[in-house]
Amino acid sequence: MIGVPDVLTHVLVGYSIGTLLSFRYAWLRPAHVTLVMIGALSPDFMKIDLLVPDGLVGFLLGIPFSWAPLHTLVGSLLVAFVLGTLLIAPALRWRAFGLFVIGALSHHVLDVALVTATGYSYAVFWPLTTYRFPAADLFLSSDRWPALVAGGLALTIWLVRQRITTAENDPSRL
Amino acid sequence: MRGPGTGWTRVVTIVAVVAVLGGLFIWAGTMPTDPLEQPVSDETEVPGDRGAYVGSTVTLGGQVVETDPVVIATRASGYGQFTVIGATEALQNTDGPLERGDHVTAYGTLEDESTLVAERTLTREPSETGYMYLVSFLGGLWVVGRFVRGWRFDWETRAFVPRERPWSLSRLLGNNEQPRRDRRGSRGDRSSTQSDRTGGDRRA
Repeated sequence: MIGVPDVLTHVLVGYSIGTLLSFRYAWLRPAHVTLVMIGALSPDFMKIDLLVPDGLVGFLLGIPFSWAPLHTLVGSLLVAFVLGTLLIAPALRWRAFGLFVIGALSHHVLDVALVTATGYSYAVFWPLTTYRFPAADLFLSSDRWPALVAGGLALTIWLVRQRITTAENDPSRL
Repeated sequence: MRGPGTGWTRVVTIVAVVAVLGGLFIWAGTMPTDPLEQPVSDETEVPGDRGAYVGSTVTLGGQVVETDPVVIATRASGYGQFTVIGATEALQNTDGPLERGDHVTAYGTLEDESTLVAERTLTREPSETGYMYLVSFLGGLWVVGRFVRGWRFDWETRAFVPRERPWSLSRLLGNNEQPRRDRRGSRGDRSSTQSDRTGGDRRA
Protein backbone atom coordinates (compact mmCIF):
# COMPACT_ATOMS: atom_id res chain seq x y z
CA MET A 1 0.00 0.00 0.00
CA ILE A 2 1.41 3.34 -0.99
CA GLY A 3 -0.75 5.45 1.31
CA VAL A 4 -3.91 7.45 1.62
CA PRO A 5 -4.69 11.02 0.53
CA ASP A 6 -3.30 13.59 2.89
CA VAL A 7 -5.42 14.36 5.94
CA LEU A 8 -5.91 17.97 4.81
CA THR A 9 -7.82 16.92 1.69
CA HIS A 10 -10.15 14.73 3.75
CA VAL A 11 -10.74 17.49 6.27
CA LEU A 12 -11.44 20.07 3.55
CA VAL A 13 -13.95 17.71 1.92
CA GLY A 14 -15.56 17.14 5.35
CA TYR A 15 -15.83 20.90 5.84
CA SER A 16 -17.44 21.32 2.42
CA ILE A 17 -20.00 18.54 2.95
CA GLY A 18 -20.84 19.76 6.45
CA THR A 19 -21.26 23.37 5.37
CA LEU A 20 -23.40 22.39 2.37
CA LEU A 21 -25.64 20.41 4.75
CA SER A 22 -25.88 23.49 7.00
CA PHE A 23 -27.49 25.39 4.09
CA ARG A 24 -30.23 22.76 4.04
CA TYR A 25 -30.63 22.16 7.80
CA ALA A 26 -30.94 25.23 9.98
CA TRP A 27 -29.93 23.37 13.19
CA LEU A 28 -26.54 22.58 11.72
CA ARG A 29 -24.07 25.10 13.16
CA PRO A 30 -20.27 25.32 12.70
CA ALA A 31 -19.81 23.07 15.76
CA HIS A 32 -21.74 20.35 13.92
CA VAL A 33 -19.68 20.87 10.76
CA THR A 34 -16.67 20.05 12.94
CA LEU A 35 -18.21 16.61 13.61
CA VAL A 36 -18.32 15.88 9.86
CA MET A 37 -14.65 16.95 9.71
CA ILE A 38 -13.66 14.65 12.58
CA GLY A 39 -15.54 11.82 10.87
CA ALA A 40 -13.71 12.56 7.63
CA LEU A 41 -10.41 12.33 9.48
CA SER A 42 -11.31 9.32 11.65
CA PRO A 43 -10.11 6.43 9.42
CA ASP A 44 -6.66 8.03 9.55
CA PHE A 45 -6.57 7.45 13.32
CA MET A 46 -4.88 4.34 11.97
CA LYS A 47 -1.81 6.55 11.46
CA ILE A 48 -1.19 6.07 15.17
CA ASP A 49 0.78 3.17 13.70
CA LEU A 50 3.54 5.67 12.87
CA LEU A 51 3.98 6.42 16.59
CA VAL A 52 2.99 3.05 18.05
CA PRO A 53 3.65 0.44 15.35
CA ASP A 54 1.60 -2.78 15.12
CA GLY A 55 4.69 -4.79 15.92
CA LEU A 56 5.40 -2.88 19.12
CA VAL A 57 1.84 -3.36 20.44
CA GLY A 58 2.00 -7.01 19.43
CA PHE A 59 5.30 -7.40 21.27
CA LEU A 60 4.06 -5.64 24.42
CA LEU A 61 0.78 -7.58 24.54
CA GLY A 62 2.28 -10.83 23.34
CA ILE A 63 -0.45 -11.27 20.69
CA PRO A 64 -0.65 -10.39 16.98
CA PHE A 65 -1.98 -6.89 16.45
CA SER A 66 -2.90 -4.51 13.61
CA TRP A 67 -4.41 -1.01 13.64
CA ALA A 68 -5.75 -1.58 10.10
CA PRO A 69 -9.41 -2.20 11.18
CA LEU A 70 -9.63 1.52 12.04
CA HIS A 71 -9.42 2.12 8.30
CA THR A 72 -12.43 -0.05 7.35
CA LEU A 73 -16.16 0.77 7.27
CA VAL A 74 -16.95 -1.39 10.30
CA GLY A 75 -14.09 0.21 12.24
CA SER A 76 -15.34 3.67 11.27
CA LEU A 77 -18.85 2.85 12.49
CA LEU A 78 -17.51 1.66 15.85
CA VAL A 79 -15.36 4.79 16.25
CA ALA A 80 -18.36 6.94 15.25
CA PHE A 81 -20.48 5.17 17.85
CA VAL A 82 -18.03 5.96 20.66
CA LEU A 83 -16.54 9.36 19.72
CA GLY A 84 -19.41 10.76 17.68
CA THR A 85 -22.29 9.40 19.73
CA LEU A 86 -21.69 8.16 23.28
CA LEU A 87 -19.36 11.03 24.18
CA ILE A 88 -21.81 13.63 22.87
CA ALA A 89 -24.70 15.12 24.89
CA PRO A 90 -27.77 12.80 24.73
CA ALA A 91 -30.03 15.28 22.92
CA LEU A 92 -27.60 15.56 20.03
CA ARG A 93 -26.42 11.97 19.86
CA TRP A 94 -28.06 10.53 16.79
CA ARG A 95 -27.56 13.65 14.73
CA ALA A 96 -23.90 13.63 15.75
CA PHE A 97 -23.63 9.95 14.77
CA GLY A 98 -25.10 10.73 11.35
CA LEU A 99 -22.72 13.63 10.73
CA PHE A 100 -19.69 11.62 11.88
CA VAL A 101 -20.62 8.70 9.60
CA ILE A 102 -21.14 11.00 6.58
CA GLY A 103 -17.62 12.31 7.12
CA ALA A 104 -16.14 8.81 7.47
CA LEU A 105 -17.94 7.64 4.30
CA SER A 106 -16.44 10.52 2.32
CA HIS A 107 -13.01 9.36 3.52
CA HIS A 108 -13.50 5.82 2.27
CA VAL A 109 -14.92 6.97 -1.07
CA LEU A 110 -11.84 9.15 -1.65
CA ASP A 111 -9.42 6.44 -0.56
CA VAL A 112 -10.92 3.84 -2.88
CA ALA A 113 -10.23 6.34 -5.66
CA LEU A 114 -6.48 6.22 -4.97
CA VAL A 115 -3.88 4.84 -7.34
CA THR A 116 -2.42 1.58 -6.07
CA ALA A 117 0.41 -0.54 -7.43
CA THR A 118 -1.71 -3.68 -7.77
CA GLY A 119 -4.74 -1.89 -9.27
CA TYR A 120 -6.88 -2.97 -6.34
CA SER A 121 -8.06 -0.97 -3.36
CA TYR A 122 -8.04 -2.01 0.31
CA ALA A 123 -10.61 -4.36 1.89
CA VAL A 124 -13.01 -1.60 2.93
CA PHE A 125 -15.79 -4.02 3.99
CA TRP A 126 -13.56 -6.21 6.19
CA PRO A 127 -14.45 -8.25 8.26
CA LEU A 128 -17.72 -8.76 6.38
CA THR A 129 -15.86 -9.58 3.18
CA THR A 130 -12.29 -9.20 1.93
CA TYR A 131 -13.52 -7.90 -1.44
CA ARG A 132 -11.22 -5.23 -2.82
CA PHE A 133 -12.63 -2.71 -5.26
CA PRO A 134 -10.59 -2.13 -8.40
CA ALA A 135 -8.71 1.08 -7.57
CA ALA A 136 -10.17 4.07 -9.40
CA ASP A 137 -6.58 5.25 -10.02
CA LEU A 138 -7.57 8.87 -9.59
CA PHE A 139 -4.72 10.22 -7.52
CA LEU A 140 -1.77 9.45 -5.27
CA SER A 141 -1.67 10.41 -1.60
CA SER A 142 1.30 12.68 -2.14
CA ASP A 143 -0.24 14.51 -5.13
CA ARG A 144 -0.75 18.18 -4.49
CA TRP A 145 -3.78 18.80 -6.65
CA PRO A 146 -6.42 16.99 -4.54
CA ALA A 147 -5.72 19.36 -1.64
CA LEU A 148 -5.86 22.33 -4.05
CA VAL A 149 -9.19 21.22 -5.56
CA ALA A 150 -10.65 20.44 -2.13
CA GLY A 151 -9.31 23.77 -0.84
CA GLY A 152 -10.89 25.69 -3.73
CA LEU A 153 -14.20 23.95 -3.13
CA ALA A 154 -14.09 24.65 0.62
CA LEU A 155 -13.19 28.30 0.01
CA THR A 156 -16.08 28.77 -2.43
CA ILE A 157 -18.54 27.24 0.02
CA TRP A 158 -17.10 29.35 2.84
CA LEU A 159 -17.63 32.53 0.79
CA VAL A 160 -21.22 31.55 0.02
CA ARG A 161 -21.80 30.90 3.72
CA GLN A 162 -20.34 34.30 4.65
CA ARG A 163 -22.75 35.94 2.19
CA ILE A 164 -25.74 34.05 3.55
CA THR A 165 -24.81 34.86 7.16
CA THR A 166 -24.40 38.56 6.32
CA ALA A 167 -27.74 38.56 4.53
CA GLU A 168 -29.47 36.91 7.50
CA ASN A 169 -28.07 39.49 9.92
CA ASP A 170 -28.79 42.41 7.63
CA PRO A 171 -31.40 41.60 4.94
CA SER A 172 -30.85 44.97 3.22
CA ARG A 173 -27.41 43.82 2.07
CA LEU A 174 -28.67 40.86 0.05
CA MET B 1 -34.89 7.36 21.36
CA ARG B 2 -31.95 8.87 23.19
CA GLY B 3 -29.69 5.87 23.12
CA PRO B 4 -27.76 4.53 26.09
CA GLY B 5 -28.37 7.26 28.72
CA THR B 6 -25.74 9.03 30.69
CA GLY B 7 -25.23 6.52 33.48
CA TRP B 8 -23.70 3.07 33.73
CA THR B 9 -25.39 1.78 30.58
CA ARG B 10 -23.34 4.27 28.66
CA VAL B 11 -20.06 3.35 30.33
CA VAL B 12 -20.74 -0.35 29.74
CA THR B 13 -21.62 0.33 26.07
CA ILE B 14 -18.41 2.31 25.54
CA VAL B 15 -16.32 -0.47 27.12
CA ALA B 16 -18.13 -3.07 24.98
CA VAL B 17 -17.59 -1.20 21.70
CA VAL B 18 -13.93 -0.55 22.52
CA ALA B 19 -13.57 -4.27 23.32
CA VAL B 20 -15.06 -5.18 19.92
CA LEU B 21 -12.56 -2.81 18.26
CA GLY B 22 -9.76 -4.42 20.25
CA GLY B 23 -10.94 -7.81 19.05
CA LEU B 24 -10.78 -6.60 15.44
CA PHE B 25 -7.21 -5.32 15.99
CA ILE B 26 -6.13 -8.76 17.17
CA TRP B 27 -8.09 -10.56 14.45
CA ALA B 28 -6.48 -8.40 11.75
CA GLY B 29 -3.10 -9.04 13.38
CA THR B 30 -3.50 -12.78 12.94
CA MET B 31 -4.31 -12.46 9.23
CA PRO B 32 -1.51 -12.99 6.70
CA THR B 33 -2.69 -9.83 4.89
CA ASP B 34 -4.55 -7.24 6.92
CA PRO B 35 -7.41 -5.22 5.32
CA LEU B 36 -5.03 -2.49 4.13
CA GLU B 37 -2.46 -4.79 2.58
CA GLN B 38 -2.70 -6.37 -0.84
CA PRO B 39 -2.95 -10.15 -0.96
CA VAL B 40 0.43 -10.51 -2.69
CA SER B 41 3.90 -10.96 -1.22
CA ASP B 42 6.06 -7.84 -1.04
CA GLU B 43 9.57 -6.61 -0.30
CA THR B 44 9.32 -7.74 3.32
CA GLU B 45 9.15 -11.41 2.24
CA VAL B 46 10.50 -11.81 -1.30
CA PRO B 47 14.20 -10.83 -0.86
CA GLY B 48 14.64 -13.37 1.93
CA ASP B 49 13.51 -16.36 -0.18
CA ARG B 50 13.78 -15.27 -3.81
CA GLY B 51 13.67 -18.75 -5.31
CA ALA B 52 10.31 -19.55 -3.78
CA TYR B 53 8.68 -16.55 -5.48
CA VAL B 54 9.97 -17.02 -9.05
CA GLY B 55 6.93 -17.12 -11.32
CA SER B 56 4.65 -15.49 -8.72
CA THR B 57 2.99 -12.08 -8.79
CA VAL B 58 4.54 -9.79 -6.17
CA THR B 59 4.93 -6.10 -5.32
CA LEU B 60 8.36 -4.69 -4.58
CA GLY B 61 8.95 -1.23 -3.19
CA GLY B 62 12.34 0.43 -3.00
CA GLN B 63 14.70 3.21 -4.00
CA VAL B 64 15.94 3.56 -7.54
CA VAL B 65 19.71 2.95 -7.53
CA GLU B 66 20.22 2.62 -11.30
CA THR B 67 18.09 3.92 -14.15
CA ASP B 68 19.19 1.99 -17.26
CA PRO B 69 17.87 -0.58 -16.69
CA VAL B 70 15.92 0.42 -13.60
CA VAL B 71 17.26 -1.29 -10.47
CA ILE B 72 15.63 -0.81 -7.10
CA ALA B 73 17.05 -1.54 -3.67
CA THR B 74 14.37 -2.89 -1.34
CA ARG B 75 16.55 -2.40 1.77
CA ALA B 76 17.52 1.05 3.00
CA SER B 77 21.11 -0.20 3.14
CA GLY B 78 21.10 -0.56 -0.66
CA TYR B 79 20.85 -4.35 -0.56
CA GLY B 80 17.95 -6.48 -1.75
CA GLN B 81 18.31 -5.24 -5.33
CA PHE B 82 16.00 -6.20 -8.19
CA THR B 83 16.00 -5.18 -11.84
CA VAL B 84 12.55 -3.92 -12.83
CA ILE B 85 11.80 -4.52 -16.53
CA GLY B 86 9.42 -1.96 -18.02
CA ALA B 87 9.39 0.21 -14.87
CA THR B 88 9.05 3.48 -16.80
CA GLU B 89 6.44 2.24 -19.29
CA ALA B 90 4.27 0.84 -16.47
CA LEU B 91 4.20 4.08 -14.46
CA GLN B 92 0.66 4.96 -13.40
CA ASN B 93 1.06 8.39 -11.91
CA THR B 94 3.68 10.21 -14.01
CA ASP B 95 5.31 9.85 -17.40
CA GLY B 96 8.74 9.52 -15.86
CA PRO B 97 11.63 9.40 -16.34
CA LEU B 98 12.65 7.72 -13.11
CA GLU B 99 15.63 9.20 -11.34
CA ARG B 100 18.03 7.85 -8.76
CA GLY B 101 16.60 8.25 -5.27
CA ASP B 102 12.95 8.10 -6.38
CA HIS B 103 10.80 5.66 -4.45
CA VAL B 104 9.18 3.06 -6.70
CA THR B 105 6.56 0.42 -6.00
CA ALA B 106 6.38 -2.18 -8.77
CA TYR B 107 3.74 -4.87 -9.26
CA GLY B 108 4.38 -7.75 -11.60
CA THR B 109 5.81 -11.22 -12.05
CA LEU B 110 9.15 -12.28 -10.63
CA GLU B 111 10.82 -13.73 -13.71
CA ASP B 112 13.99 -14.92 -12.05
CA GLU B 113 15.62 -14.36 -8.69
CA SER B 114 16.65 -10.80 -9.49
CA THR B 115 14.23 -9.63 -12.19
CA LEU B 116 10.68 -8.36 -11.92
CA VAL B 117 8.61 -7.79 -15.08
CA ALA B 118 6.46 -4.82 -14.11
CA GLU B 119 2.78 -4.53 -14.93
CA ARG B 120 2.13 -1.40 -12.90
CA THR B 121 4.55 0.92 -11.14
CA LEU B 122 4.11 3.96 -8.92
CA THR B 123 6.72 6.52 -7.98
CA ARG B 124 7.09 9.21 -5.41
CA GLU B 125 9.83 11.76 -4.84
CA PRO B 126 11.17 12.07 -1.30
CA SER B 127 9.94 15.72 -1.08
CA GLU B 128 6.37 14.60 -1.76
CA THR B 129 6.35 12.45 1.34
CA GLY B 130 7.48 15.43 3.42
CA TYR B 131 4.72 17.55 1.89
CA MET B 132 2.14 14.91 2.80
CA TYR B 133 3.19 14.81 6.45
CA LEU B 134 3.17 18.61 6.68
CA VAL B 135 -0.31 19.19 5.22
CA SER B 136 -1.70 16.22 7.14
CA PHE B 137 -0.43 17.79 10.35
CA LEU B 138 -2.04 21.13 9.41
CA GLY B 139 -5.32 19.37 8.63
CA GLY B 140 -5.31 17.67 12.02
CA LEU B 141 -4.49 20.93 13.79
CA TRP B 142 -7.39 22.70 12.09
CA VAL B 143 -9.88 20.07 13.26
CA VAL B 144 -8.55 20.10 16.84
CA GLY B 145 -8.78 23.92 16.86
CA ARG B 146 -12.36 23.89 15.63
CA PHE B 147 -13.37 21.27 18.17
CA VAL B 148 -11.87 23.20 21.09
CA ARG B 149 -13.54 26.40 19.88
CA GLY B 150 -16.96 24.91 19.26
CA TRP B 151 -17.37 22.31 21.99
CA ARG B 152 -16.97 22.03 25.77
CA PHE B 153 -17.16 19.16 28.24
CA ASP B 154 -20.30 19.30 30.34
CA TRP B 155 -19.66 17.75 33.77
CA GLU B 156 -23.37 17.32 34.50
CA THR B 157 -24.07 14.95 31.59
CA ARG B 158 -20.38 13.93 31.36
CA ALA B 159 -20.52 14.53 27.61
CA PHE B 160 -19.47 17.09 25.04
CA VAL B 161 -21.93 19.88 24.21
CA PRO B 162 -21.64 22.69 21.67
CA ARG B 163 -20.65 26.02 23.23
CA GLU B 164 -23.27 28.75 23.30
CA ARG B 165 -20.71 31.10 21.79
CA PRO B 166 -17.52 29.83 20.14
CA TRP B 167 -14.51 30.16 22.37
CA SER B 168 -11.95 32.53 20.91
CA LEU B 169 -8.52 33.85 21.70
CA SER B 170 -9.56 37.50 21.64
CA ARG B 171 -12.27 36.79 24.19
CA LEU B 172 -9.75 35.04 26.40
CA LEU B 173 -7.56 38.14 26.28
CA GLY B 174 -10.46 40.21 27.60
CA ASN B 175 -11.15 41.82 24.27
CA ASN B 176 -14.72 40.51 24.25
CA GLU B 177 -18.24 41.65 23.56
CA GLN B 178 -19.11 41.78 27.25
CA PRO B 179 -18.02 45.37 28.05
CA ARG B 180 -20.15 46.79 25.26
CA ARG B 181 -23.20 45.28 26.91
CA ASP B 182 -22.04 46.81 30.22
CA ARG B 183 -21.90 50.20 28.61
CA ARG B 184 -25.55 49.98 27.78
CA GLY B 185 -26.24 49.06 31.43
CA SER B 186 -24.50 50.58 34.45
CA ARG B 187 -22.03 53.18 33.19
CA GLY B 188 -19.93 53.17 36.34
CA ASP B 189 -18.89 49.52 36.06
CA ARG B 190 -16.22 49.60 33.34
CA SER B 191 -12.88 48.03 32.77
CA SER B 192 -9.94 50.38 32.15
CA THR B 193 -9.65 49.52 28.45
CA GLN B 194 -13.33 50.18 28.10
CA SER B 195 -13.10 53.66 29.66
CA ASP B 196 -10.23 54.46 27.28
CA ARG B 197 -12.36 53.44 24.36
CA THR B 198 -15.39 55.34 25.64
CA GLY B 199 -13.16 58.35 26.21
CA GLY B 200 -12.21 58.18 22.56
CA ASP B 201 -15.84 57.99 21.60
CA ARG B 202 -16.62 61.10 23.61
CA ARG B 203 -13.94 63.12 21.94
CA ALA B 204 -15.33 62.07 18.58
